[in-house]
Amino acid sequence: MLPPVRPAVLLVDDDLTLLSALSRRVSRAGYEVRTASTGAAALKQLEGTWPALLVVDLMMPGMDGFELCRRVKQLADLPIIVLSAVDASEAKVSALELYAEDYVTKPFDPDELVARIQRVLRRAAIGSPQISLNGGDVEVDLATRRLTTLSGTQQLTPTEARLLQVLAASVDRIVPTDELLDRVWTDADGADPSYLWVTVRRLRRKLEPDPDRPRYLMTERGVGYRLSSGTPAPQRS
Amino acid sequence: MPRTGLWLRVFVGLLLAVLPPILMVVGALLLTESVLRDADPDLVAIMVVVGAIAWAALLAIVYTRSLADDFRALLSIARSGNSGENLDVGPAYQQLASSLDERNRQVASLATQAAAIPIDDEPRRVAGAIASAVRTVMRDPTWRLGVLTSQDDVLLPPAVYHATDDDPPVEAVGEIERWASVTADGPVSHVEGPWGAFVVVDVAVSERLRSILLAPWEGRLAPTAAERDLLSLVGQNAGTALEHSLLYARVRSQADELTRLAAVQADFLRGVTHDLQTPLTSIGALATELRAADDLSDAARTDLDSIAHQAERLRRMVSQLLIASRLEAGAFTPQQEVFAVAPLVERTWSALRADRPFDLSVEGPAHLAVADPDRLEQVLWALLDNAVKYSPPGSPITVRIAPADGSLAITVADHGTGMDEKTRSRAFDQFYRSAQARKLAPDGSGVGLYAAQGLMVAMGGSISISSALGTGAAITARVPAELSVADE
Repeated sequence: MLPPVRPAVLLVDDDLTLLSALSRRVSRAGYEVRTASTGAAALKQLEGTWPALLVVDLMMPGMDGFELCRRVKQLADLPIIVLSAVDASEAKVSALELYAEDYVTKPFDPDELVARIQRVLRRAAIGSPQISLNGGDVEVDLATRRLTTLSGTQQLTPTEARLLQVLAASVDRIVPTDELLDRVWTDADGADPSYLWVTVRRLRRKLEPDPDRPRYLMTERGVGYRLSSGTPAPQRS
Repeated sequence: MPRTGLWLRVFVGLLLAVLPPILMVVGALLLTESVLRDADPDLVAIMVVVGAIAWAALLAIVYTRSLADDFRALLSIARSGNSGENLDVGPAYQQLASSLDERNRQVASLATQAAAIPIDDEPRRVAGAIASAVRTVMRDPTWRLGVLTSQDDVLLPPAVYHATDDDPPVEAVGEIERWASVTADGPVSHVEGPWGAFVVVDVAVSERLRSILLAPWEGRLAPTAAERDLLSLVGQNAGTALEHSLLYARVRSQADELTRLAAVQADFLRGVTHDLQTPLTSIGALATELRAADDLSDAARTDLDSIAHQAERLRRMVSQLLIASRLEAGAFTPQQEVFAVAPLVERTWSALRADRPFDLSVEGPAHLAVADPDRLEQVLWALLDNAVKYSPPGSPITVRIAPADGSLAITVADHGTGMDEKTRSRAFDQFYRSAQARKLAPDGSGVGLYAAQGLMVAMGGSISISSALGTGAAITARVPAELSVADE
């Protein structure tokens, strides 16, 4: 019997002590860990097999993390988590949204990094960075977390974007509450159904023409939620 | 024309005044002699009376007309005076008017030029602007400003300042300027000596600064009293401008220095904390990994536990400093997630590892916060850490969570010394630490509450203190929240 395939994570950081400490923690979480201490070394590694995800330090001598992310995305659409300094400017952080799926600010708890890796990999497995409902009346760009409806464009929170992505992967089908909690939140979040209720309510305010009579984000009482692609009769909530 | 008419009327008037008595005398003589000897004496008397009345009426009419003409002439003079017509008032009057006009023009020009001198510019440029202004006012391109002694050698070195568009605009103080200044004996002096004649005007004379305006006066009349007055006025204005510009420059250089020092301090803080970020992450991660090993002695496990805990403490302190510097730079955007507050409070409290009785109570209908959980945890850490630091060992810490108008109020209370009015009003200032705080916890940074307030405001919440000396402190953070009810 073959051993289960462990997703590979490529850690890129110029600080070898941190690289070693993080390798051990990420490895313990069940991932295959590869490391590189420069941007160039990381690109070299990508010439071989691709990892499932990259963790990239933003501040590195030579090629910085930002440049590395840009080059990686030219090669392949691999998910990236950036380790950034807390004082990185907002401009840089927003530019990061183009390339990075998530970012963790230093100093951080390694458990937090592991939780983010799990979350990003789960989301990446779902695929589909674009959602379009009702012939384009509602458009969601998951990379930039922008929701465009007939009444304008709004920014989604990471959780709202994840929830929409999971629902969109099974459009017009019911996704049970437990599955949503499991896929949208991590264990560390300690989420219960009330998290889902409030998040859905807030999402409907951004998504629905009339949040009290939803057309897209439907409640399936006692079971879960369903994302509707068309224009069924409005449901009274 | 009016003058000729006037003389004619005076002549006629005199004639009319003299004629009746003569005619009366002639008439009386004729009556008494024989011309009208046979006539009726009553008739004659009537005729004489009628004649006298007729003369009087004629006189009255003529004089009234004459007076009316004079009045019209006066009115016409007044009108032509108002409309600025050139009056026939004689050369002396014309000279006076023209010199007054010139003087008015100069004063108006002085006011305009004085207003145009920028006092917020460099004092050296202001000195040049003064020389330009004086040249414009006096219509004389030979005026210049000499700064003879100045204690502010950097801001305004001793030199002769020409108009700003001259080449060169500044020259060294020459012998002429020195000589002219030495012989000056009042605000405005006309001096003659080995280098010719000069007019010298004192501009600013104090212990710190002595400067003059001067112009060569060779071949011209010495200034009149009026010209001296005007020059003195010019000097006073120039002096005020120069003093103000020096004062402004001093204040500005002090402000620049303070800004520079603040920037150096912020840079240093950012640099140091930034350098700490990576090693702190490593220490924490390594200690956690080592602790996970199975073959550890209890003592080693306890030590590793301490290392991890202390690294965690340091990590939080560094985060606090970094947040403070980001808040200051206005570069901070919190996440907006939905989460329960009570578990976060419990997690933060246990991470603090304080050996204290702890009581957490949740009131009212269930709510979930809508904020950045990591940042709220930082705020809670700061509040709980403060409560432990500033209250006696063994005394309880209580946290109460209650819904309040679209938000959750999280109140952290201790049984410590509390805060007096002054401490309460300054508790959220960066780096502020009261004397009491320094005594109870000498190692604090004074950043905790400052960062906490900044974070709460950035998340759309608020933070406030209710405390009095001796009753303990209660700090309440209000975080935006939503009722957590099912939508079906």
